[in-house]
Amino acid sequence: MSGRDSGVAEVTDLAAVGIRRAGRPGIDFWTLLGTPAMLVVLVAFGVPLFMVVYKSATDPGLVNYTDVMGDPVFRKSLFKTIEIAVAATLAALLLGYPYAYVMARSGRWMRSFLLVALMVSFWTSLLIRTFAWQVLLQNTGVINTELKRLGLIDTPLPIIRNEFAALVGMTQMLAPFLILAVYALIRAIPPELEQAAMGMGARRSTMFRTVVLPLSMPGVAAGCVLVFVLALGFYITPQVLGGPSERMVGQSIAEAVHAFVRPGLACAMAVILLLLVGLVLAATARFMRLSDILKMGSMSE
Amino acid sequence: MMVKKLSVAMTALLLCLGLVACGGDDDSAAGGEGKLTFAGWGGTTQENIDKAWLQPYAKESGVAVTQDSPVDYGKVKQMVDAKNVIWDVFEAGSDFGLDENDSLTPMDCDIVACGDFDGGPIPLYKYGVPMFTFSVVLTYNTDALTQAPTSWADFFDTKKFPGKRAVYNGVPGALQGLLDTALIQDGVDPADLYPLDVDRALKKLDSIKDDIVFYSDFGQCTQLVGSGEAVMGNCYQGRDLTAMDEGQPIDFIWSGQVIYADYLMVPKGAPNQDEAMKLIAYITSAEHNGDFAKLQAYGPANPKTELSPDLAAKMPTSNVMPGADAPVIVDDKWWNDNLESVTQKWNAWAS
Amino acid sequence: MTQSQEETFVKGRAGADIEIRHASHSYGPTLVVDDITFSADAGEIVTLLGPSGSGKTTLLRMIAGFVPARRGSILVGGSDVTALPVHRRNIGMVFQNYALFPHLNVRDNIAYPLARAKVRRAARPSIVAEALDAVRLPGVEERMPSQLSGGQQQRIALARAIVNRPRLVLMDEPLGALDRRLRESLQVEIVRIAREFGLTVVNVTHDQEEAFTISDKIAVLSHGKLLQYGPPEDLFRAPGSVEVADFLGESNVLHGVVELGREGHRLRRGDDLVLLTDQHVRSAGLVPGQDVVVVVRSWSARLVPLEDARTQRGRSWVRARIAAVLFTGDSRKIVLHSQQGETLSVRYTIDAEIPGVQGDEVAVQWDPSLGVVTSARTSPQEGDR
Repeated sequence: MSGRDSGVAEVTDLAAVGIRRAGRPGIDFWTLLGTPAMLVVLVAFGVPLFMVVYKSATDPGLVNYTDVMGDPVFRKSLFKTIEIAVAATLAALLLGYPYAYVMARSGRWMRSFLLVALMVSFWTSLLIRTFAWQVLLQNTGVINTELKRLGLIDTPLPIIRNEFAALVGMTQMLAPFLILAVYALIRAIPPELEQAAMGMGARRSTMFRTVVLPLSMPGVAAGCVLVFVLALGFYITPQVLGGPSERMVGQSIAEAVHAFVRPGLACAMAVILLLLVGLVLAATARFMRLSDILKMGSMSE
Repeated sequence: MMVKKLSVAMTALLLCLGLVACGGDDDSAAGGEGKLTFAGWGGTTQENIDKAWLQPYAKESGVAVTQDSPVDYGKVKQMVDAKNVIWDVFEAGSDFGLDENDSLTPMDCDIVACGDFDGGPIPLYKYGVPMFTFSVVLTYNTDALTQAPTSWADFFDTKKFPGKRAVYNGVPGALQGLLDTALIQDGVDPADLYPLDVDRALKKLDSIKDDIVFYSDFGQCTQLVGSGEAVMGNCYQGRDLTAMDEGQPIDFIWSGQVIYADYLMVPKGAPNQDEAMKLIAYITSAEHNGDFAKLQAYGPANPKTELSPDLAAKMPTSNVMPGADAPVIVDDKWWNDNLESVTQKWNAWAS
Repeated sequence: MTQSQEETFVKGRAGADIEIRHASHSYGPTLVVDDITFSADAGEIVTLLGPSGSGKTTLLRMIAGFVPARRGSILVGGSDVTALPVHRRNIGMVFQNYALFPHLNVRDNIAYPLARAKVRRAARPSIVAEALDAVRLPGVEERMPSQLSGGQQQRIALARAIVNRPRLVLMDEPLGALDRRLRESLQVEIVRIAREFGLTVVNVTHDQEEAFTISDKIAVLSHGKLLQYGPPEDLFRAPGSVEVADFLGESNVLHGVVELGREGHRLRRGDDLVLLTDQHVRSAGLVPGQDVVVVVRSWSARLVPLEDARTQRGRSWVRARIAAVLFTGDSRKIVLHSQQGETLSVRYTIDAEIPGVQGDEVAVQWDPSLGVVTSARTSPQEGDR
């Protein structure tokens, strides 16, 4: 690993080193350094999490769960949420993986350009990006207006207020997470491995399938899980870009808190969503040890 | 062992820091004389509230007014439940239980001029005093339509006025009075609207459903109509006026406007209740209630407040039309009682 | 693939001869490989030797096919492979960082080229075992690369590079990551395996000792140009230029103008006597008045008392003062300053007696025929002739 521009990979390396060393018996720098952070995580995430679960069952009672599951709109939005999250994850993977690969394997200038492009978009407010997409996609938006002006279409293309638009927006919001996760892993694969494979008779596609893909799999898994989990919680982007059918669970939660002022109900919904996330992580863990995801980062040493 | 000790020490330190920080908050909010915290929805409106009312009041009374935003009903409930209230006065819509609400302090009519509101268009409630009025009006794009619509009947006439209609579908309140309007257009006498026949209203809306463009943020309505994405919409008159000033091809009609008000409320257990009532009395007094209208086209709620004629022309309460064009008044109490079930029906219909 | 074909595949093929013709490559306006031409016979080990930035790695990558030849061509076994994609060039590669696939065990690593060549799955284990025998690491098939030491990993990489008897084995600083002792033993191994299987090897290194140890031919590169090409002994005995001489070992560089004296041609250097042999004069075309450089290896020069130097005939010498006597582990290095201001060095074995101590004025003396003479103003390319 070289170069300052691979900050993400370095962080992963560092984390991997820390975790590996922490695994050893005895005390070292990383254990010491990590302990307060672990405690903060425990206090900052564990306690609220417990409160959410507790409130869902007691405020006013388990009726929250029967209310939630009895609501056909919620059930529908739950399935829609999963569907959209899966689709967004796949789209982020299809677009993000090649991006990450090109970024990892291109020269210094190209890599910097791609990274900056990624970061600028990453750091722009989610709301601003959502409305920017609206300006692009709506019937009187840039795309439809231009296509009409060029005489290619008579009526506006249906690219707003539907699942397509919601997915475009969400993919753009979420792909950076996947790109960074995969990028870190691919950067850690020495280019010599690819050269060795091709020298030994593998065409580029075979080399990719037999070397790069398996070695970047932990990053793909980490990125996909991250994107999927984040997608489950989205609601502003699908609400603005999608139609009313693209209703996500997040919207129901917001409604329960802001409009009905029934935090218990919202907590119940959150717990259901959380169980879903747990299920996904458990399924991932079946195919891949979570530690692998971290271990790979240190391969470049 | 050393790690453990250190960890314990760090944790203790962190917890202490946390406590001190929380304690600090309490102190600043609870600290006795001449202080109070106002919470609004944020944005331009709150800036103008500050200019029109908070700053002059602070100058006049010597009370230090701190501000917070945005208002969140869930947060109010949590603060009250946790007995850690940091707001003294907050701005709310009519959709946060005005007659019955465990989280609020009743208005003190010894301090607030409750009598001013008797017989006015906007009622004063046990838990809230209206601070300003605004209305949802039929807004249309002047470029896209060859003739101007004259009433909500035209909103439901997609043959005479083809094109998309922008309709609110965000976190619901009373849905901008759309159900009420739909029922009136379906032939229900405005006097007999409540209890709302939600199914009938949705059936009427079915007739234009294919032409509906849903929006979730109030600002979007004006934007959708202004850009021609929709030809009509049920937008806020205040935002319309701003867009018209910017030169967007927008206009609106006063016929069948749905008049709303924002209310000032005091959470139960607010640290500075007396100061809170005094601020509310100031803002809603006949003398000062119109100050906001000079900055933003939201009208005074106190019927005794007088406005200059050119300002009055822009205000909902000055544009009450007679007969079939009369304003629609949403029954806040009914909505608060039925919000969840209506919302479920609406969501099922919309999605 | 049938059984007998597999036999042929494994046993029957040996390395091919290789020919580089006017190969050039540039990054932007800079020529990093500049018109390089040489050839090697099948079964030879060729080392590209040069400092970093000399273009040796780029040239190796051109031979492999990772870097296109902007000009010129590369022939392997008589056929032009310049336009052939990497995976069809049938090469084995060994890298400094081993480049073993971390997700595959040793068997699958070594079987990788076999799988690409569609060797039957059932036939692979025995071929892999044979390759492991060749690198003297039998029985480690199940291990993961991370469970092996650096030296072992490089042996596995070697086994993987030779398992399908490639026409060419390319090595990029293969021993650079290993410690000295391991490096020396693997140098011997590489030569043994290359001979055993008749491999043609192109090796890249900046270590002249490694180059001398394992190579049949050495190509000395500098700034993208080929300075000299030939067997190690030839290069050592007759380096074609100062740079080559300098690069092939510690040496002393003496400047001067050619003049004709009583003893024949020599350098005009005041008190010093730097003789030029007839061979020098003929091969370098020396004429009096010409600026030349004489290079003398530290190991070729001896120290003698000044009065002895003055009386001995037929030997060159330079007057110098001993600045330091350094013990460098396997030898002693004497650093001197000449009257002309040059820093000179002379090597002695540890047990040899050194005629002088720090501060003494002595003569640095050598057999004139061991000196290498080139014109001071010639470019490296011309010095190649």
